[in-house]
Amino acid sequence: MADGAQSLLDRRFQVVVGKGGVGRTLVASAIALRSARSGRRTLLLEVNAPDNCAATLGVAPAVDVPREVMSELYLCRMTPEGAMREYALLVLKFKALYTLVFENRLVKYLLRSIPSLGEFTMLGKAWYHAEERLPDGSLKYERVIIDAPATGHAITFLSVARTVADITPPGVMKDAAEKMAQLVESKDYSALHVVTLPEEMPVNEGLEMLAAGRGKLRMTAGVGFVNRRLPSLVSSAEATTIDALDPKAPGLGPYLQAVAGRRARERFQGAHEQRFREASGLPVLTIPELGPGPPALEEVVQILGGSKP
Amino acid sequence: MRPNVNQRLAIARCVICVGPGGVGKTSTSAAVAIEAARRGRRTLVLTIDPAKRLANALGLPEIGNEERLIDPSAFTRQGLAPPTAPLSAMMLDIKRTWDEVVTRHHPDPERRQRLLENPLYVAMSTALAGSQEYMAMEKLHELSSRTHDPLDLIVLDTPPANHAVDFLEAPNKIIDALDNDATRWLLEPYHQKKKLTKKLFDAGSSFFIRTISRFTGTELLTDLGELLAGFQGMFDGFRARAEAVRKLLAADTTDFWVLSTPLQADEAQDFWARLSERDLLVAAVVLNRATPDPYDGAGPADPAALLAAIQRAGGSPELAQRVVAVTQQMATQAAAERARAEVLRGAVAGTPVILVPQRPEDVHDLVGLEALRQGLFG
Repeated sequence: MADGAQSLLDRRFQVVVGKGGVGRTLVASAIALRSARSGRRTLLLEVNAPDNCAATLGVAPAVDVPREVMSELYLCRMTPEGAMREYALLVLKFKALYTLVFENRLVKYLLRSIPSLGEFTMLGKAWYHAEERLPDGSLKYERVIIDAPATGHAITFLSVARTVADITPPGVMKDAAEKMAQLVESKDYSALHVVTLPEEMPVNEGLEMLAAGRGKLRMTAGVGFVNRRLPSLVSSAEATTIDALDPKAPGLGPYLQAVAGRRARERFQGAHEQRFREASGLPVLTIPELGPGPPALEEVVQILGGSKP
Repeated sequence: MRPNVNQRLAIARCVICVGPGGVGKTSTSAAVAIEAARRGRRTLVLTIDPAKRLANALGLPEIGNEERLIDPSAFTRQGLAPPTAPLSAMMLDIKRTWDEVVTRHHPDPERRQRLLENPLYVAMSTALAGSQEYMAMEKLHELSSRTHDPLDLIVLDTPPANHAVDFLEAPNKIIDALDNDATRWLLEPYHQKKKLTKKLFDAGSSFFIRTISRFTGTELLTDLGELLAGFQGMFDGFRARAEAVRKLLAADTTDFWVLSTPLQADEAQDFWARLSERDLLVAAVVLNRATPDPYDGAGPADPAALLAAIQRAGGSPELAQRVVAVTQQMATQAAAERARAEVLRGAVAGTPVILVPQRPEDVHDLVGLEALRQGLFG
């Protein structure tokens, strides 16, 4: 395990980001499962992306309230509408009033046109669960893991609390935003994990996201994950042996073509992985590509140092 | 028999590349544009968010919305045939396009300025869902109707989408988000020349507004009111252009290309179906990143010959086994992908389905684009 990765995976509030299609959900689900298996009550939150985590974990689809899907593992989805309703109810503390006002067609329209209000309420929900306490004062969820949206949207989502805290006048909203921002920016509790593929665009976006995380979002950088990395097919000594073969010899053509194509991809992937390691400065964990399908969840849990089921 | 991609490329005025993220939309758009310009058509490729190296290869600057002519010598230097007609590229900048639209079409200079300076306007122009798609359409409309330097063909690279309809419905969604019953109700005093904030916070004037402002804070609502007021007077223009774009998309010289990968062939089929049911013309379905078949054009395979050759070169039998296994695995995968493409072909009613083999690396230069172009057009 890469230096420092373990403690970053033990933090209270972890957010998993990356370009669309790189395997964020797989990584977030594996982090959550590892945590739950270590006996910590863990909440996995998915943002506006129906059923991805549930499918990865092989459990029933997530709903708007946390539900225990495996021992100590709770799953919950966040949608702008659902989160707004919950948040409004918390503020208004009176359901009839909520229904009267927020279910009003005109008001619904109006709220929809406030940019980032959906993100704000979703982040608010995440914060609420991260701070939720049991009657004895202990945390209800010892860890909250967020499967964030793709890059651009993720930056909006994570920066919304600070933005609101900075621009709104003193009041309910500013107080809530300030508390949310403090959790996101916490040096002790939060971590921003970046997932990428060993390819040009995903690495670029991963690095952009990380720069935003360290800069504008003032977050603590977590672990870097390089997903779907082809393992070396041959050692360097074996490569020399293969290179000595005559591609024109009868019967060898397809084999040498296959090996050459595979090695070229490994080389390019290696170069992008290296670039990501150097530019990010993160402890990096590599998830190998094991077949044409997505890597199995259990394998990733093992890579994270988690225990077996 | 439907016209093939070569025939369509001679007559199309717009090619719109749609598909999920990460399937090579930008590079495919560029390859299509290069092919058209080689055939003497004045072509512009409009991309959304190109990889940096690909942008460099196309000569695109860091900042958006600037049309750049691609220097033919960039091709000849690499030993590639240059375009025979002007080929240019442009990167769409969402915020700038909003600014351009507001600047060009807003009827009232003073309100226009207030709108451009509204803090929510900046957030809205980049964060509002569908904003990218809508601005791509505004830009497409502007480019296709311009009279100076007319273009024969515009190739549009679209933002990643889950469904083809996301793109098609964007203009209506945005217009609806900015102009609806709620907006008009909120803005009523504006038209009566009263102060907007007075209406908003007049004690007793609105139970609704007071309740919402407990939730959002009052300043936010004021900004929102100002924002929506700022757009007043623009909606007729928005609607007229959205209608013009709708006609443009439905024209028989507008071609959609559905891009995907063999592993996401289901999504390709879904895109095709949703476009077709709206009577939009899908000219091609492209499955990028297909696994190359190692048996393709490499002669016969003889595992015994491989084992003997490896052992002669000092390698172990186990190495030979591993090489045979990985070759077999690739061939099996390639065959499965071809079979999937065949099923897709049956489902898309004669639309050409093109399988483009995976290259070791993402396409990021003109040489890579050339290989992709050959894969598409032969």
